[in-house]
Amino acid sequence: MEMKSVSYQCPNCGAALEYSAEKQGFKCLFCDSEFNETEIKKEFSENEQIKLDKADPTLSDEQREIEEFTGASALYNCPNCGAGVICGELEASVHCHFCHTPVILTGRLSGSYKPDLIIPFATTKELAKQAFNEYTKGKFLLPNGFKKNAEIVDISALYVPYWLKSGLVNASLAATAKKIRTWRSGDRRYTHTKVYNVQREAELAFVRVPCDGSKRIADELMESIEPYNYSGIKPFSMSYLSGCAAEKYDVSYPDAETRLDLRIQAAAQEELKADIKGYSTVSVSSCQTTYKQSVGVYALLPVWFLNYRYNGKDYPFVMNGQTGSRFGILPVSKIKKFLFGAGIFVAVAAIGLLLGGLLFG
Amino acid sequence: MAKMMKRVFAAAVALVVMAAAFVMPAYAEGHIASVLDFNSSLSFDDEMELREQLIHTAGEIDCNIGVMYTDKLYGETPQDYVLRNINERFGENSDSAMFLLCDDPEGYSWVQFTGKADGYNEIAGQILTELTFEDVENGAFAAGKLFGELLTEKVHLEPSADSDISLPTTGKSYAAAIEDTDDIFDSTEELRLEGLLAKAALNAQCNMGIVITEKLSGEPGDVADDYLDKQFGKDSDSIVLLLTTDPDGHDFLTFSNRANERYSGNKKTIFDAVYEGLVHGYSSAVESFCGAFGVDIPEKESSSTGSKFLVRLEDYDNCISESDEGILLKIMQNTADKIECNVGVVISADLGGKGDSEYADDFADESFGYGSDNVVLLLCNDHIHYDWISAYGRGTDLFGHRIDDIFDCIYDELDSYGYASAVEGFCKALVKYGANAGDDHYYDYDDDYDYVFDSEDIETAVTIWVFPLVLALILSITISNGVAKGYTKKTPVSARVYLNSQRKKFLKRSDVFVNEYTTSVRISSGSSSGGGRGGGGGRSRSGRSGGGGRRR
Repeated sequence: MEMKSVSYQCPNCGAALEYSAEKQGFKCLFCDSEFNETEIKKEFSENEQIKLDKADPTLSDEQREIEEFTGASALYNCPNCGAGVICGELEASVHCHFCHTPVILTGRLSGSYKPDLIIPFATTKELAKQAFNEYTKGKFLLPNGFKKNAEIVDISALYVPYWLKSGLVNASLAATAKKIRTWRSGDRRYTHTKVYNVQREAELAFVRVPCDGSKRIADELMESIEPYNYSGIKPFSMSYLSGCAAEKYDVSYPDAETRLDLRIQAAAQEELKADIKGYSTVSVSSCQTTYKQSVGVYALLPVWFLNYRYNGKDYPFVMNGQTGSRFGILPVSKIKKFLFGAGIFVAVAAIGLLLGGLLFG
Repeated sequence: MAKMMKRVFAAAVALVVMAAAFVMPAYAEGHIASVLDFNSSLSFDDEMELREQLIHTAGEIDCNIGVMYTDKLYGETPQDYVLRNINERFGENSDSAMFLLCDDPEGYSWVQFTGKADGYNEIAGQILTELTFEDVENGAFAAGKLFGELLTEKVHLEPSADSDISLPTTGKSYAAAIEDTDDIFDSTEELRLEGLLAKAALNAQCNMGIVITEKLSGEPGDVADDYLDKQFGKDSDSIVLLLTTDPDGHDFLTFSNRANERYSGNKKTIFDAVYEGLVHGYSSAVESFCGAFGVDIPEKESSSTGSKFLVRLEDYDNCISESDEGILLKIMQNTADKIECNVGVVISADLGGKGDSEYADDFADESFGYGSDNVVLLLCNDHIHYDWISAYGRGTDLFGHRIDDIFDCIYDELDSYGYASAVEGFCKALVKYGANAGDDHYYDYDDDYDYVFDSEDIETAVTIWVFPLVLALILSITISNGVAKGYTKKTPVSARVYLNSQRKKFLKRSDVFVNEYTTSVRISSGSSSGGGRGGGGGRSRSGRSGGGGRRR
């Protein structure tokens, strides 16, 4: 079954329009015409009027099933050239394989898959490449010839589906704290210890704690390029997807919430423990969090993905499409690692033997 | 004929006079007069007066004269005591007469004649009886004066031709005196040194005096001159050496009259000799002073090993048996040879008003001489002062930073086995930390208390070698893995960055005191002593000392 799709064409020449992170606007790929968001929304008000509502409770089961199937369908017709192309199950924004026109698959953004918020890309592809080169600088355990032989296989901009949870949390912490004082008198060293039961309870407000909603993307990888600057977050508009890939979520909110709650509880414990001061040691015995209020929203957040191949193995590199924060998995040369360890061994052994000879020889 | 007889008589007289001029010196002997007041029976003035009289008497009867006052014979018989003093002071087989007035309840007084006066021993008893009555009726001073008078009255000796004493041209006697206000010498040693000083006085043909004191009542020169005037008289030919133990004081040499003419130009030479001897102690300093005036110093009995390092063990509290003392001295000698340093141990509950470090330092100086390499252990039983280890020179270099370790060894033995073992533990510790410092091997004892080579100290080898290598291995693996891990993982951002700090509100803060407790562990402790010493009076001394103490 065909999927509904839209594309944005240049009002001047009819070529495809893409959202430009550099310009923070839209640019024609053919005539280089530039348009801001307001102009695009006005020009393509028809697209904006396409209802991407949440699931309609009045729909029958059959109608809902059709709609969901529509959303899940892998077949679409390019609105520009009419070519029929099969796309991935999660892709919501693609390029036509024939005319390369950016196409937005509205079916995958409707119903429960309609994003609430989006942070548009603020960094360019060139910046992503440059970030990768900078990231590998100074990494002395990289194998020789890495920079020469590492081949960038793919570099793409992707709007990653995220669940953002905000909540007012009542956190309580119980701990045992000690004040320890030592002194020396004659030939004896005395240690005096005072033990306290410490409790802290606070109301904490967490704003939009993120968790990515894609199973194929590692959570740790996404968390490593946090945080996003939510001052740049905007209500979702399909126009931002033009020219960028986007995916819909395949991790439901209840599943994501489990991870989110763990993060929030850990953060609450850290915050309360930081308030316990003036003790030599603090040992937490219990920490509880309860939500007074919470809300979760679905958002698309920008990420640059760069895959490179070295010695036949693919390594990922990601960069925050808004802040530029980056992380990548790099190969480690075993020989260099061994030599590095040996150098530390020799240096520490020399110092230790020298001190040992002076003190105990 | 008459004229010829007159000429012959005149020639004979001339010959006699010439012969006398040649012969008389052969018969004119030097004499020593000595007054030894060990129990302060005489006042200073009485002692001077008695000494003057005895000098006169010695010249008259051609015999050495001595008067001794004491209340302790230290187990010797009076005769042996007197004979020993005659030999030490006047020389063996010398022509001498000595009167001993003894207040020792276990002893009695004695009169002894030796040499050519030996025949007068037959009347010694009679003389002694009179002296005893005089002492009872008129006191010790009167008895001493009576002795001189009786000798003048009863003793007439032929001049001796085979005297080994040098012949002063004037036939005058010279006095010798040592004033030891710091009690550095015991009575026996002081007697011996006075004997040597007397010989030096004879050789130098002047009175000789040595003053050893810490407290100077005035300028060193004035103190020395005052002593000379009082002891020998202002117009006498005398030399006085002042040795001060005051760190800020100065030593001094003073000469009077003909002694000044003859010897004042040799002051540097005399001081050089004294200080060379002072390295080995004050006894050696006095001997060296006498040696500077031609006295042959008899060699002291050396230890069985012929070591040049000295040891001294003083147990004033009788904590060590005599048999153990002998063994410990042998151990200490071995220790001293191994560490190339003098070793001393003193056990006492009475520090004589001194502090612990001061007592130990003084003991070291007195035993081995100021400036010598030494290490001394003081075990103080008064429960007030600290036990102390005093170290100087090489002793400081070897053990200055090991005081606590040495005390650990001592106390381990003291607590378990007693004082003898504690001294042995002290010696073991000295060898462990001092013998062949820097080597990996440490020495231990066999049953005969001789050192044997022991196997390598595993504990120290582990500390020096194994621990650093293991630590280096752990650190190298940890750091290299940590750096490599950074290539594959990154610490996730905490959700605290998403906290709205403005909406943070603490509902409860409670810090409730539960309980408190105190624990303690015993650790090593100690303190260091230090100090400087100096001297002067034509020459100054300087040095440094080290050590430390601990309370039991």
